[in-house]
Amino acid sequence: MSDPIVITLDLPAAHRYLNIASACIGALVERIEDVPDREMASYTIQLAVQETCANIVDHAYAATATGRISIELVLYAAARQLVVEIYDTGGAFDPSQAREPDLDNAQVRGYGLFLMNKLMDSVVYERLPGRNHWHLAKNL
Amino acid sequence: MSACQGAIIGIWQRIYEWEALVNLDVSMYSIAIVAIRDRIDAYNAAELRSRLEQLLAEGITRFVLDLSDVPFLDSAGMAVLVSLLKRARGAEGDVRLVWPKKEEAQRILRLTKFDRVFEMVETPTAALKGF
Repeated sequence: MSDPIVITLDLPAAHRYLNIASACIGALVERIEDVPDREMASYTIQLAVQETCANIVDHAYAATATGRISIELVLYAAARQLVVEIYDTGGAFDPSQAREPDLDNAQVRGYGLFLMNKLMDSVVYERLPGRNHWHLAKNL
Repeated sequence: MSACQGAIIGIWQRIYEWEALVNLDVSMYSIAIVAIRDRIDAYNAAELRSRLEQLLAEGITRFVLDLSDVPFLDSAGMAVLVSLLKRARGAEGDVRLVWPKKEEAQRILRLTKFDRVFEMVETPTAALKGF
């Protein structure tokens, strides 16, 4: 099996720069051969990564303006899967505080994690020593 | 000028291009039609929210947000839409959304059931009917 293609980004943790991750994902998916519904796959992964990173900016790095977000795009071409590993050194995420949105009553907050889980095939969070790790995977 | 600034100024210009005065009493019957052409994301959301709040402060309570050309919509952008909806309905007004052309963006509105919370229409002209 061929080695995965790995692309690494190291972004300032600011909303201003999150579109860079979107652009890279779009460009990578464009180069993958035979992706059914390429536009949908690309948009889906871009949105899940956007939501993850926006949460990192707003919550993990709520107390600082100098954080960094490390993003690894890992393409397993043979397995037809794109994995996104996202790391930050901000405060820990507490899954017990995350609530599902009430979809029958539109609300201002709470859609980010819901969308991530709906759009990706796998979303896993783990707290590592001194940093957070989000593992997102999408079958192509 | 950043792409975002350009887009927001574009929105602002279109608001007045499209503002519909559907009766003699301008102050009571004005509807703001806001065409958005850029991403509505965590970066752009604050400025869009500020622009919409200016319109609310001017007494406008009925809004048509034309999302036809929105290439990307995230939950921060959706928060702006919901905030506007709550404030407009609280003032006896409403918000109608024109479907994005992009099927991917439409899917997000359906997944979150925004298409049931908002009145969705195909064109800005259709949005004005009975508004």
